Amino acid sequence: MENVIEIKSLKKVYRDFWNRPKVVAVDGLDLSVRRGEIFGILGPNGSGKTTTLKLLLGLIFPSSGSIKIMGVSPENMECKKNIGYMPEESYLYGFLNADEILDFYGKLNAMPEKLRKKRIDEVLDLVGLTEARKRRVEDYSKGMSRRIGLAQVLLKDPELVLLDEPTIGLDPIGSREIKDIIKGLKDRGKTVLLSSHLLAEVQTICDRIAILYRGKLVEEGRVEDLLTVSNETEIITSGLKTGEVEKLKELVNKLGGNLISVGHPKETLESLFVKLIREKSGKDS
Amino acid sequence: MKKIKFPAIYIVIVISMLFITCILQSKPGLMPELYWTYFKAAALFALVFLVPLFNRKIRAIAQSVLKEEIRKKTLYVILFFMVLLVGIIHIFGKIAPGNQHIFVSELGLSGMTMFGLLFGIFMASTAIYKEMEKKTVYVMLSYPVSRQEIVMGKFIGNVISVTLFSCILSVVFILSLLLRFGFEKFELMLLYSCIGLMIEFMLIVAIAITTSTLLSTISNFIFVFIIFVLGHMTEQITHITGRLEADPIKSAGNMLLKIIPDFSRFEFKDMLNLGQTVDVNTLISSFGYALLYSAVMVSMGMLIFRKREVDRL
Ligand SMILES: Nc1ncnc2c1ncn2[C@@H]1O[C@H](COP(=O)(O)OP(=O)(O)OP(=O)(O)O)[C@@H](O)[C@H]1O
Ligand SMILES: [Mg+2]
Repeated sequence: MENVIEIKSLKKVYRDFWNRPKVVAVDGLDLSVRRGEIFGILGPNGSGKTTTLKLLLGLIFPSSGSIKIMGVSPENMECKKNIGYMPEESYLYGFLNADEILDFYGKLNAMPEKLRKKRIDEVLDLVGLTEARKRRVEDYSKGMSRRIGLAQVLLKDPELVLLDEPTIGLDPIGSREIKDIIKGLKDRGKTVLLSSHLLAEVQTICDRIAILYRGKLVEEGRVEDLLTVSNETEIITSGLKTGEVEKLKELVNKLGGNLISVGHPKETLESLFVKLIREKSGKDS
Repeated sequence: MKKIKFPAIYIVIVISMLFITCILQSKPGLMPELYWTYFKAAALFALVFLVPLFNRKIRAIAQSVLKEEIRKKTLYVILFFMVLLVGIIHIFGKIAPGNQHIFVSELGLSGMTMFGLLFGIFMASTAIYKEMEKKTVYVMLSYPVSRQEIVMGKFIGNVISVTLFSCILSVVFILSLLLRFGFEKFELMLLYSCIGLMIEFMLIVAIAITTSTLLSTISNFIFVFIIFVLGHMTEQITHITGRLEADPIKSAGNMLLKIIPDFSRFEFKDMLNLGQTVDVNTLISSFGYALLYSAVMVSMGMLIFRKREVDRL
């Protein structure tokens, strides 16, 4: 499978006014995201998730290392047509209403007027803002602003979608809707890269994840594999009494129980995450 | 072959214009001055306003600037006070009998200059910095818009807004003068003065936009204000440096004079007072000067913003 994003030993050092290094926000990151998958970047606050996304968009420039998005550098304007970005908070032009904001972005994306109008109606409906479309967004609630941020991505309908904490600030139904939308994107063959620290969420929608800690990659892989505890075995049976469980392994057939599955027990992503971060911070300090 | 980008061509043309102007200034008589003046004004006008407006992204950004400024309340407060000022002068302008209308015109023009300064300070000088501060530029840059187009769009949008508002102001001002003093006292010079001020505002906007790629709101307020004051003092500075003996200070003064914009080219208030007139050629040559200066400024803005990390404020 082809890689949509390729990050090689990426490093970003924030410097102060005198050019002295202040923070190493991303430190030697290697990452690749394949076409058509949902990739999650996890990490505690300040671990460099947003910084990585900013680097991917060319908002800031790497101190060293390289980034390729669909084969080109993020500074190349042409690839931007195929990237959608929803920032961590919605940063909107307060003086415009929802319609006008989307119209503005549509123009920036060189969408012809007819298509723009049609698509704006569609996406406003999709994010549930049809009623509020004529109101200035400065009066919007937090969740409503987030929905505009998403609407703007959907309007663009890009190949690669970068979402920075997509469900923050949304009500349970809203975050459910967003998850459905993200899955819908995947079904249509789009690639999604999202950052989050809502682990349960990541567990349900991501195919692969990377865990960052202080700008370094701690763990990377398929969610399935990472959560599988490989040195233990889990057997799910039915028709057995509790006392007979110990003899189970050899006896399961003899006893006439039904062997439903034999496998490895799953950790929750939460316990894995806490374990990894604890280990790391223990080592560092 | 790599496609040559618009900003590169823009910068090259601006630099060559600047170069030719400098040559012509040092060697007068090389080419009829007037032709060059016309040519420069026309070419730069096309380059600075017409060509960029063919780019739909620049157009979209300029449009949104205009929308923002029309919807902002501060602007109406400023406008209200300017109109009030004109009104008060108009009603109570009986202080200097005889050439009252000149006195009133002068005050009106001063009011307009104030408006331009305030616009430059409050609107244009925050244009790009505010995008970074409010982080709206993050999403904008996720679209196929280059940073140069953003600077250009902001510049054009702000120039159109300030021109629009000063047109309204001029019309109110001239109409009220006509109503008060009648047609026979109206001079073309008054119209020229208003146009001169609009040209000056374009220049202020260009400077403010450029520095807003770099400076935060407050420092840019101060910067634009200082440039404004210095630009109005070119005559005094010339006077001072002319009397100086010490060489280093003198050449520093001369350097300063070359760098800061010469706003006296756009202000015809004193001439109005003395009963002098300007001709259209002077106006066009001032326009050419302002266009070239603005184009250089905007090019600089584009170059600075190209490598600007938008989250480092
Ligand atoms: N503009 C900046 N200047 C200096 N340091 C910065 C800047 N932006 C981010 N940092 C630092 O870089 C580090 C990573 O920040 P980043 O925003 O990428 O974290 P994050 O993983 O997105 O955290 P969160 O979960 O809180 O959103 C932090 O230590 C932060 O203080
Ligand atoms: Mg973040």
